[in-house]
Amino acid sequence: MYEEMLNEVLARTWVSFAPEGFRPVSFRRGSRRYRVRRINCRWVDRSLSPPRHGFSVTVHTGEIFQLAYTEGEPFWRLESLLNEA
Amino acid sequence: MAPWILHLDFDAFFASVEQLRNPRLSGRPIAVGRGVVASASYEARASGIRAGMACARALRLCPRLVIVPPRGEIYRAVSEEAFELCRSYAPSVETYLDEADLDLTGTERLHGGHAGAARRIQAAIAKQTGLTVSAGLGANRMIAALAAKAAKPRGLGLIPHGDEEAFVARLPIEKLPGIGPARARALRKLNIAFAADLRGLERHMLADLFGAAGLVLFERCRGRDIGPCRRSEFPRAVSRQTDLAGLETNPDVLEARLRSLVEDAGRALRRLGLVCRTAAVTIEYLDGIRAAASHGLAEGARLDDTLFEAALCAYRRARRRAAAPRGLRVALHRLAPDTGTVQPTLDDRGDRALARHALMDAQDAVRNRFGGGALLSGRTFLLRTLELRPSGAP
Repeated sequence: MYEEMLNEVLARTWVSFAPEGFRPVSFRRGSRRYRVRRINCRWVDRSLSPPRHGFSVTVHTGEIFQLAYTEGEPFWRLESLLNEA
Repeated sequence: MAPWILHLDFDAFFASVEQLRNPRLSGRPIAVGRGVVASASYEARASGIRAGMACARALRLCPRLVIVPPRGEIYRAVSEEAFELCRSYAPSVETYLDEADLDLTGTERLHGGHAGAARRIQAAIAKQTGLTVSAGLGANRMIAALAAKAAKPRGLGLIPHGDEEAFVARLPIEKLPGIGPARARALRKLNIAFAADLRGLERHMLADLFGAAGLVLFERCRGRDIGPCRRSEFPRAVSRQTDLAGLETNPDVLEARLRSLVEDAGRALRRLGLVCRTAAVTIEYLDGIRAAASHGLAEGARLDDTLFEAALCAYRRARRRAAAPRGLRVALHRLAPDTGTVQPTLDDRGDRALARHALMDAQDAVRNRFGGGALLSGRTFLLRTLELRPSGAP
């Protein structure tokens, strides 16, 4: 499957706040911590209320995850895992 | 004051977003679509793959092709963010999913030249999103759009004032907006291959051939287009389509497919906070013939049942042939913001109407979280049983 939908609530997410916007730095999934190596793409879905911020990230293991943060929610979601094809 | 319109068009938009989202796909031939190719990367286009082609055919043309299911909500969010930038450059901006028209008339002194402004916007969008846009500048929206198409990918096309007629004259008729395959075939039978040839037809002849659209074509083949740029807050239509490969004639299955499309489109409509007043259905057959019909609603609708009733009326009017359709498309038109007013019907008390809307919202929440297949209506359940049926079983 190209995109595996996970829809998991992340136990913990470390976030960097900067003038150009915030971004995830690392997150814990189950007992494992993943460090974000690269933000591939980011977007804000303002058609939703409240808006949802989406990030495609490559982590230190080389896997590509899609993370989402809905404004006002106290947690981040792990939306999907993007596979090779 | 001379009008100047800037047209911006993302290059291979859906495919480029997917290549950004998943860098492993970068440089590889990919197509975005479900059944039908909605967008193909330039690497895929090199193998002859085009939007509108059945995915099965695309895979035959390019076995290395990666087919990615579309994520419309992401594409819309990315394009909205990019085009928000445009609003700081032009007082009037009209946006679509992957295109935008900016009215730059009267902004020369502010921007120091339209071509410079266009290049700055292209660079700003590339910096913000990582995506490239092609740009076209011209005296009207059609000329600007044609100039952008000619400059693809990444380029900037500029048609000076006064050159519109000459620029359009040498274009094949299929390139003119408003001329699809059926109209092109009709015109080619009349030995009309280029826009210049089309000018030989009188206004009333074009009106006889194509109705009101003929009058628009009369202007367009002369490089004229009078439509102004309007700021659009929402799309003109929400549509969904499916490829049936000409294998299905069972009316129950076809109506289940229709219901499934309506549910997908309805969910997108509600996500945008809109209601619609027209449902249109297009059926395409294997011989290329298309049949379309639409059904209007007295007031804006957002519930799947109401949308389906309207789509079913249109579908039954359009389905005049017994042949198996190749494709089916549902489009919801005449969109307006959902004011949240729930109108009770004569046989329905207000609290029941409210409950139906609340149920719809709850269903959407489940589907948004777990996928469209997480909840099925009675009609679409038939499709699930077909998917589970072993191949060859009756």
